[in-house]
Amino acid sequence: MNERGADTRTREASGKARDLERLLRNARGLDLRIDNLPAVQEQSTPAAAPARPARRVKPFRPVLLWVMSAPLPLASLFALGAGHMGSFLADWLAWGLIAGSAVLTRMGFADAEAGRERRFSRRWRLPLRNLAGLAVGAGTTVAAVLGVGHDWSVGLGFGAVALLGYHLAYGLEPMWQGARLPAQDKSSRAVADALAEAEGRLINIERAAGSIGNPELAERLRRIAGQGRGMLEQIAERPSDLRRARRFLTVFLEGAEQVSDGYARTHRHAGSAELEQNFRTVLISIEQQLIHQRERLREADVLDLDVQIEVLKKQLDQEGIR
Amino acid sequence: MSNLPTRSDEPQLPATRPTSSPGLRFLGWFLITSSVGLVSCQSMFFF
Repeated sequence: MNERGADTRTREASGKARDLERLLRNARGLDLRIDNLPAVQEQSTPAAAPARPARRVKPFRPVLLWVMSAPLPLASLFALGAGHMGSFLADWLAWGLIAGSAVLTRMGFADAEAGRERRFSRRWRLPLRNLAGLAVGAGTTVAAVLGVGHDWSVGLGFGAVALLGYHLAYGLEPMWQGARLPAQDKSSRAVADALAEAEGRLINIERAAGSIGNPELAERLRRIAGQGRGMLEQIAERPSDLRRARRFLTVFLEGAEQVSDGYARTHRHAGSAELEQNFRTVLISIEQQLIHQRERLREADVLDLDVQIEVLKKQLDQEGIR
Repeated sequence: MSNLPTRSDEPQLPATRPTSSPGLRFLGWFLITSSVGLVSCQSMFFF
């Protein structure tokens, strides 16, 4: 049953990759105003496009929290041996909270490592490191009050010191991540909304890159996301470029997001060489298209500037200044 | 097009490592040791 499900998903992902490839071939019919589209490569081998291996950064591990909480399980056994069930349970609870804090800290930094930078959109994000700080404070209070037998005021004091120490050592994080372009009128809001939506798709592509085991394909996806971000920066600097890039962003970026998301979900279940090759071909084509489109936007900007300079020269001539 | 959106301020890049200065980090470690460490050790002898 599982194998049939995996086969179905593989066929769907492969079908999506072929659909996108067909879309690239028929791009002229989409009136994207892109001339001389680069040909979709028929045969792409891994050796044809050497990609840098994905940079693997060791995840940050808060070793100090594990070390400082290590005596608690031992203390719980001592309490159990002495017949104090309350202390036994309290010490285990305290250790669980502090160990959970260490895990949340590592997850919080790993989440940030994925590079989900938000330049044009804001999102509320579960602040893992803030939860970790609260957990270490709560664990210390529980150990002090219920494990050792201190007063609640002393226990809360220990918890507050632990929370402050956590903030200084690892740092708490803001609840809202990212920024949004300020927009006062309808057209500006349209630009800001389009950029926010495109950035969301790029973040999903980066997330898919992080979950793909193949370093070459992951690196290609990251490069595509990098090119996409560059295009968004161009549009932010010259919002008039959005008109030229809008269909490209909505058609290709959405397609790239769907294909990469689909591949990330299915490649583990069925390592099909054909699927991988289709996916590789599509990624190469998308990257070329992005580079080409960015170049066209730059050329259009230069052309606009040329036209403006000519118009200004003529006006100066008419005024008799030149 | 009036009121063009301008570049936003520097984005809040999520930190992938602790970003505070070494002095503050050392102080943080000291506070964690003197709270979590002290209570953990005390719980071995007082219950």
